[in-house]
Formats: sequence, structure tokens, C-alpha cells
Amino acid sequence: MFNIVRRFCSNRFYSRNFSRTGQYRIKTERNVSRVSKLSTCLECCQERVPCISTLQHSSYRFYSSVSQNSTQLSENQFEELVEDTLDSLAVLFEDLPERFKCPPEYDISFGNGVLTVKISETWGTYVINKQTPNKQIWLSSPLSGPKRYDFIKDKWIYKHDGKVLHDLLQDEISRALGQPVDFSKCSYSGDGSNS
Amino acid sequence: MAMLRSLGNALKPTLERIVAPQVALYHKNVIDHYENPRNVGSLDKNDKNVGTGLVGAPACGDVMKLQIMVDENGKIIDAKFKTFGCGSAIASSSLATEWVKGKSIDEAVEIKNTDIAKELCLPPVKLHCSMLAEDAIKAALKDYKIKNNPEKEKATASV
Repeated sequence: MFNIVRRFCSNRFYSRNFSRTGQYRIKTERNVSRVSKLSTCLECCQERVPCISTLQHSSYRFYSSVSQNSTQLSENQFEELVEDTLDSLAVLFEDLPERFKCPPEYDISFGNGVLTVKISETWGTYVINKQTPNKQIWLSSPLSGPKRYDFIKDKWIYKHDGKVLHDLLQDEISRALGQPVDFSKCSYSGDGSNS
Repeated sequence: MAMLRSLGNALKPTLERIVAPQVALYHKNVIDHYENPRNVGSLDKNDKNVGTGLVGAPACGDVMKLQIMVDENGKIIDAKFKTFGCGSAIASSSLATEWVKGKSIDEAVEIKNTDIAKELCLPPVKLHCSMLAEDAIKAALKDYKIKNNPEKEKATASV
């Protein structure tokens, strides 16, 4: 009855158990800070959505005072930021088939800071990955090509056109699925509480 | 013994599947450019007719230098590259030098990363390499234009 999704991430391993009632649990191992963050999360909520937003708020409080631009980030700060950003994107992409009608080939994989989302054979594959040396997130879109995002004012921005990563994803994924998909709840989406 | 052998034969395909390493193969066009790169080398960067583009970051593992030589009619007569990076980056820059040769500087600026990616059949994660090649062409053209138009150089410097 449980749909267990297991993923290897950069420095930790955790498994998610989703039950039919919508309740879920997250188990983390290895990463102590992560465990504490998530365990507080589990205490305060049972539903999935508030839990993600709690994660957002906690990371926002932690970073908004420290960082503005990716060039000023320390490596640890960058790792945490990227992890939060990619985690929340992965959760969203993982949940898409439950909420929307997706092509049968729809598939996602996430590990080592690389999130790969295959929409369909005809539409193509998105790759979102961290680029630690220059503290960027790189996106490869089958529609609009490659872009490099810098962390500026709590958002991931492509310096050439000033656009936000999540805005582009929202636009393109909505078009890909033919239904409006909302990315504004993701960490560092530039919308809502953490912008 | 015969039973063991038949068991072994039955298991063989399964075993081979498990043991066979999972490899991502480059497309033959990439391998062709990687094994026989075109136009490797350098041009004199102090020459007035030579534009040099240097893009990438050593920390990321990809650095690309692309140089063009332009004749008095604005036509690119020679191009050279040196790339430090992955197979796709090397193939992208090799292909870029091939394509810019014989083009006018206005035509060369029209070369898009998508064209390079399509020609080399690059997978999604390697699109960035073709982007680097496009950036290198643009940087080389810009360098050439600045060298040959001192007033524009002042204008860009003051911006």
C-alpha cells in the first residue's frame, strides 16, 4: 500500500513513504542538520503542503540575513541553498503525475545535485543541476536551451535576461502538460514568503 | 553437470545484463570531432585581423579559446581553437571553427548553440557545451570589432 520513493542525494539518503490517506513520513539519515529540520517539520504538520512551506520558512529565516548574491555565498551556504531549491523542485516534479495527467514516459530522477525530468519523447528532457565552482544552478531546457542561474536576492536569476528560474519552469512545464502548474510554492521561487 | 551447464546458460543473459557496465555513448559526430579535431592551434592574438574569444571557467573544467582571422572584406578566412574540457566541449568548438570559416562576420554571429547541439546530437545535459561554443564565437567577433573600431571600443569602455 505504500509507495516508497528512495533517492540518493548529495550527502544523505532518505526515503519517503506516501500512504493513500495523504499522510506521509520522511526519514533521514546521516545529515544531522537536515534531520533536525525535518523532524521539527514532522511535529508541526501532517499534510504535505504545510510541511514544504515550513521547510521554506526555516531556510528563509536562516539565509535572508546572511546572503544576497551567489558570489558572496560560502560553499556551505551555497550547498544548503541548492539542496533546498532542488529538493523542493524534485518534490513538485515527483507529485505532478498525482495531480495532473502526464505522458506515460514521464520520469524523474534526482541525485548528486542533478535533477532530470523527462516529460516525453517528443517534448524532451529537462536537466537542472548545481554547479558548485561558480555557485550557479544550470538548467537545460529542450525548449529554450541552456541557462545559468545565479542566486540574487533570494531568487535564481539568469543574468542575461533577468528572468527567474521558477518563472521559466512554470511557463514551460505548464505548456508541456497543457495545464497550469504552480511553482511559486517552491523554495527560492521568488514568489511569496521568501522573495 | 549437464544440469549445471544448462543453468549457467539460462543465467547468462541475466548475468551479462548485470555485469555489463552502464555507459552513455557519445554520438559518432562528437567522437569524429573529438578524435580528429579540426583547426586546433593558435593565431597571433596581437594581429589586428585576429579576434580572440576566451570563455569558460577553469574551476568548472571547461575553457575554450576560439580565434578568427578576418580579411579586409569582413570574411573569416581562418579559425583556430584550443579547448580544455569534455568531449562535447571539444567537439562543439571544433565544429564552430569549421562553421565560421568562410562566413562573413555578420553570418558568423548567427550561429546558434541549438544548431551545434543538433549537429552533434548532444544530450540535454551537454547543451551547455554548445552554448560555450556560441559564446566563444561571439567573444571572438566582439574582440575583432573592438580592435578594428577604436571609437566603439571607447563607447563600450565608458558604458
